[in-house]
Amino acid sequence: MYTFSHLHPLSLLIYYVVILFLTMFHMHPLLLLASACGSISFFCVRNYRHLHRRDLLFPLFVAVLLAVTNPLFSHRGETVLFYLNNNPVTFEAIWYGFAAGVMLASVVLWCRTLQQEMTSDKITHLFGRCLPKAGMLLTTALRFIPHLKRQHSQIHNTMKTLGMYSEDTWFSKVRCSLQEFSILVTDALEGSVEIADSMNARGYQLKKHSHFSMFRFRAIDCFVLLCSIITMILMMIGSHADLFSVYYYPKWTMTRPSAISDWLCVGWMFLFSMLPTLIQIKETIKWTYYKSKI
Amino acid sequence: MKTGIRNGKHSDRQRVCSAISVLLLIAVFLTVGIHCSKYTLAAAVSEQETLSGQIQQTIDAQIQNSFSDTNDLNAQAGTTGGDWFALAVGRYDASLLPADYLAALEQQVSLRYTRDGSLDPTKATEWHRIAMTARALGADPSAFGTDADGNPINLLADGIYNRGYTRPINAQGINGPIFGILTLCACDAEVPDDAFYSMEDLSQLLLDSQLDDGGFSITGTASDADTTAMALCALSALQKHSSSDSSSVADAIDRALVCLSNLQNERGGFSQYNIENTESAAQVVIALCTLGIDPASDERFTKNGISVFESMQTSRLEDHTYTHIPDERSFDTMATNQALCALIAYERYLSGESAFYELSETGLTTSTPTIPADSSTAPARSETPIRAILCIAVVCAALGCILFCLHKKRVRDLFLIIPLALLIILAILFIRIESVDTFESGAEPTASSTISVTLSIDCETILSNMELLDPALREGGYIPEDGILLPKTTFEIPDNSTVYDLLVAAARKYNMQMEYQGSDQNRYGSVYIQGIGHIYEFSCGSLSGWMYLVNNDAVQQGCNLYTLSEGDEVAFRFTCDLGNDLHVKITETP
Repeated sequence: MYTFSHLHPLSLLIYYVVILFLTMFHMHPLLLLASACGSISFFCVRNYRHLHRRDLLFPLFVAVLLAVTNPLFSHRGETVLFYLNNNPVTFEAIWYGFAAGVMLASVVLWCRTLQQEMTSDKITHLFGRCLPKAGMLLTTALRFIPHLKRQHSQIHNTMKTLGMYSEDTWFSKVRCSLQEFSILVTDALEGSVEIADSMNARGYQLKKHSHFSMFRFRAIDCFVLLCSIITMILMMIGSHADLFSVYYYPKWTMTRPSAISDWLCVGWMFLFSMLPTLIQIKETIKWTYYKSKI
Repeated sequence: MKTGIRNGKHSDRQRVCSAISVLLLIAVFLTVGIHCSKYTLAAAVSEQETLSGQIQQTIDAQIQNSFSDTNDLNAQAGTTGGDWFALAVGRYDASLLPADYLAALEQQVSLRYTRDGSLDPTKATEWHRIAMTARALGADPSAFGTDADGNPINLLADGIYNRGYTRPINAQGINGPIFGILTLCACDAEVPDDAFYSMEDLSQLLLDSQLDDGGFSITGTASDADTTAMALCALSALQKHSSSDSSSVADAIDRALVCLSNLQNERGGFSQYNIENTESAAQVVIALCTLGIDPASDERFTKNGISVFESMQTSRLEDHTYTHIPDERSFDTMATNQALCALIAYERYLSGESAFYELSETGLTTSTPTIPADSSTAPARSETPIRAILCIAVVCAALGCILFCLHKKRVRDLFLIIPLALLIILAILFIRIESVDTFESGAEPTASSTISVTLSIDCETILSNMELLDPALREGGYIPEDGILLPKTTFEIPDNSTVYDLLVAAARKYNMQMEYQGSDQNRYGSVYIQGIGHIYEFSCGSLSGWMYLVNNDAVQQGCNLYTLSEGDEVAFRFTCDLGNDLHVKITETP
């Protein structure tokens, strides 16, 4: 089954770069909607076995939080709803906050999927030849947080069996947590020194270090790469032609998309952001169909 | 491997605890929300809302200034000052009047008939005004009060169609026929066949007195705006109620409108005896609303961009009363009464209700308005102690529940909960939410010693740099044609005010958007003006922003650090080139 994670790292990386570009550089509501849909659906399809309600509430929560806090700092819009301590709270500020929240949430979701897709071997394959040290650093940094989470739970359980959490006061709980934290940090530092030594022993420092990689450039990679390049070109042309122009202050105006070509462009962006989901779904259907034939 | 036994199952106690914490949070938000739910989403503050607010303010101010308590208003029943106010308020919200005004009016009528035999020796309009006031408050003017013989008084007969038996109805001037027609149509009364004047007689009297230029006049020689406007109301009433001679009435209306439009001066106002006054503008507003013409936007009655409605509103003082002459400072009862009529007429026009003098739409009631006016409506500030006590009680109750559930009796655990609770209480107490109306009508405190300074705000340099302008500001009228956001206006500000205080007062008074960065956000301790009127720094290129000049001198200090003196001329100017395009000399800080 050749899902999205089986793509060649290069096309994967370029896809992510383009989709993050698309999300972050224009605050256009339709683009934000497309990217949010794409990221949420891809996240769900990728992790449908371990989905938690909090993963889906997270984008909504971030959007609402920013919608509520942006008016506290920005008083720019035209329609004043009420005055809070002599500062106007405007509808445009709330709307801008909401859009920024949606953007933030979709970027975070894309990055979560990136973390799941871009494993260390893919990074090594990409950067091993030209930037070995940088690639190594990136991998080590990216794997640290889940690794630390696992370590912490182990340490916590060990501490409990050793009788650390016997008292029920809040003060002793804080004390025990601080002790756990110091153990965790020491463990991480020791581990990194060990990793460095072992990698040195295995020859990672050598200039001509070769590594095994199983990635082949298949047809689907060409397809994804082509889509990414077309999207990038469309975005540049669109920026030049003010296709994604939207003004939030002082009055929200979104004059484009107006013509059919504008709508086609936005439709393409929407399909592009749904591309990983579609690939995953297509492969799952094919796989299920093949399995049913057995 | 699962993360641990402790977090695996939540005990019932912990569940209750978290439920109460969630409820507490919801209670906090609800308290804040309920306080501002009175002022919810007015995404577009419609004209009607602010107009209603203005009407209410003027009513309250007039009661305060002219009728200091309800006895005083009832004592003026039957006079020009009292009746016009009662008629206007009756057309807006009759419950704001004292319940016994109608009884006082009836008493006055009966008294005058008993004592003098009539309401007035010369003026028929006394009958007209009292009849309309009585009708507006729900009484029947054809049986109002009792005369010396104990018979019911028919105001319509004595004052209008049988007036000719005592004196001609136009003995006092054209006002007689005008208000006679208005009252007859307002009360929708049938003129009996044996009346001295029929409706056609009255309308003929009115049409005959129209002058060559289409206007009407008290003196008979030159048209004046007041009389023409009142005649237009009468003609409009004729059009609605009388079927005869409709074409000549329509023609008369058109000619009168043309004359009225020509009488408007270049400031949008109207004059009488060559003095521009509020009453004339108010009468024109009433007439236009009666005819279904918008006095705030019709081009015939807008000169130099100022409509007659706006011109009338320039006489509005800070305490919501009106002056007689626009530039005066002291209020005038009659001007306020007439302006109130105009405001109410305009409000009725905007909400599609019947015209000001169309009293026949109101039902006849036998009972007088029940709820007496409570002229002082205290603002939300007085609720604050109650609110504070309430939220402290709520928070303490929730704290008690949490502590009870957790079985915590140690003092040490309160160290976490009490600061959190204090934070919530402080947040509730110090967050002050005001609606748009409350903020804009916020009373300026009058200081003992004031100085007079002028302020002007302009963005003329943008006009020569339009290609650099932020595209969001290009349309929508944010950049005025001449670049002047506020022409040179005089302000009375307290002594020792800074330029920043002046700007805040001006922005509040003229409802201009203004955003600033507070003095605590930079190391100079100065307030930085980021934007005025939605024009922000960097809106016109990366070298653009707001600067201020005092007496044509660019001050290099924050605007809250420069104290003003008497007669200073402050100018806030937008620069697109770091100040170089303003061509002013820059002095060092004094």
